[in-house]
Amino acid sequence: MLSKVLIGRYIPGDSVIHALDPRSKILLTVLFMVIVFLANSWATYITLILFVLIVTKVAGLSIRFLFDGLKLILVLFIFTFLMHVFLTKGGTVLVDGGFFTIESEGIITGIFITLRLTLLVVVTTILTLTTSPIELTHGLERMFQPLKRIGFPVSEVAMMMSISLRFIPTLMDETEKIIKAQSARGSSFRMGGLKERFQALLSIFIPLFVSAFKRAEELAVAMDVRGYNVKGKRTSYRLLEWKSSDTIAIIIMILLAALLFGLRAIGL
Amino acid sequence: MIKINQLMSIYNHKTPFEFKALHDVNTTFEPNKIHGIIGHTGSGKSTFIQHLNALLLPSSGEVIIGDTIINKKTKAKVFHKIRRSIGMVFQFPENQLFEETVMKDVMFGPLNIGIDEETARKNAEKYLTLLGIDESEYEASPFELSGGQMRKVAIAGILSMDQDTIIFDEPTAGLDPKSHIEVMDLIYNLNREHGKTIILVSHNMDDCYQYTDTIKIFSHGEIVSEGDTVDILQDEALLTSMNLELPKVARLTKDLKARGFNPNPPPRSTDEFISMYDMWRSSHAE
Ligand SMILES: Nc1ncnc2c1ncn2[C@@H]1O[C@H](COP(=O)(O)OP(=O)(O)O)[C@@H](O)[C@H]1O
Ligand SMILES: [Mg+2]
Repeated sequence: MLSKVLIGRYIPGDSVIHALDPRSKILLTVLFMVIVFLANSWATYITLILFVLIVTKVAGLSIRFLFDGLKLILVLFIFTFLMHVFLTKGGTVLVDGGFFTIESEGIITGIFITLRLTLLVVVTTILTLTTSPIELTHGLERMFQPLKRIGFPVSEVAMMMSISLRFIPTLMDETEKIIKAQSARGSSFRMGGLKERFQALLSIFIPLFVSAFKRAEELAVAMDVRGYNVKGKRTSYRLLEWKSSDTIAIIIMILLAALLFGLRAIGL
Repeated sequence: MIKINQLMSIYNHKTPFEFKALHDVNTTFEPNKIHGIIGHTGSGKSTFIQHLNALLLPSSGEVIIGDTIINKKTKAKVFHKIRRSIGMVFQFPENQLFEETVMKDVMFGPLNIGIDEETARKNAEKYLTLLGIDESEYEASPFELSGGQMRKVAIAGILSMDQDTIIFDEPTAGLDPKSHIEVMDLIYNLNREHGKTIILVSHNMDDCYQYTDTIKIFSHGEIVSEGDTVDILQDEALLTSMNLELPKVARLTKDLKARGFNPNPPPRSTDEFISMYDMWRSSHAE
């Protein structure tokens, strides 16, 4: 179940997308997020969906798999959709249930906002699925390098991020193990009263925190004995290299933005 | 009786992480015996035993426990019933401790499966005593205990649910030699004196030889060999083909055969070996 959460996972591969510089991938993701907010009609949303489907294919990912990963946040999507269906007014009245009405604008807005959320989640997932945590941190560190001049601890934050990212899967595995161990002891949040359910939650969170602190301590010791020093100057083994494919990818993204402006301008 | 038919198990089905951990497992576990499961890391032992109490459901095939059938469609309602008849001591069970006191932690399981407070306390006391945890420690925090003690409290936490069958997944991993022997002796006693059926996953060949009645060898998600412990663990050709070693006592006995030392039944533990060897030597002394 937990292993189905895709954000934060990485699948090694040799696609063009995998090979892009992490900096350009981060930039592309941010650009796309901005572009998503330009969409306001069927034509614009369909363009974006097609674009994402193509990127997924190019990255060698299965569309089915990507959508399976979305199932967990389905609740959020449904909630958003229903909010708009009931609260947004305008257009023709489709259902008149007395104390509430469902109007056409509500349905359309609901669909659009849900699509927008889906697109945002999907591009972020594609980013982490195709970029290793190390590359991602490295890319961020380099992008925020200028902030060092105003005293922002860029390397430390990058180190913290890479450690956190590295431990997300470990913690997920740990959580799954503890849940299983407590289920074997008859613990369940699906049954029993409030007190039992609360107890069931504690039985998972306490061991999880204990093991996370133990890991943190071990890691701290390991870093200490190897002489990690926040002030130390770090060099990296892998050098980031901006290639022509990165430039082309950025140009494609700008063209996509232009296309959306165009579609909006001609009123589609 | 536990029966497994054509059990197949796939992790992360229909994703790029898809992995078939069990291929086609068919076997049975007779009641009131100690069953050993051995095999290299990654051979599917832990995956397999989690199917025996419905922590994992089969991708296809079935597990039959008494009159309950577990297959891919089994519903959560049935889980409770199964967990009342099969206990599971995971690897490093001390990681599941969470209560304020030892006593509360040990009583967590029995109370969850509907055992009344008084019986739960009685069970807890019985198994804590069996594991050598002193009464003065009942109100201590489990996190203040030593590693070996924590392991024993965690084991007591499962045993106090009083199921007929207990599964142990590498129960002695990472223990000091003294606790190791204590835990293995406890497992043996649970069977011989308390009539529990035991399923023991281990990759300690010596423990398996000394303490188990039957052995199943796992390799690449399948059972490649099974039978009585004496037959399987003395079969050097078979073990070598699986990249496993003969138990030390079996090795020694085999090496001494040429000199005429051939006791029947053969010694299974170091102590048995020493006393049988001594006897043989004195009877052969000129
Ligand atoms: N939660 C899981 N998700 C995916 N694969 C797993 C998981 N648990 C185990 N595996 C894989 O299944 C195989 C068998 O693992 P396991 O049953 O733990 O073997 P053993 O206990 O014999 O060492 C291994 O290759 C392991 O990587
Ligand atoms: Mg294992």
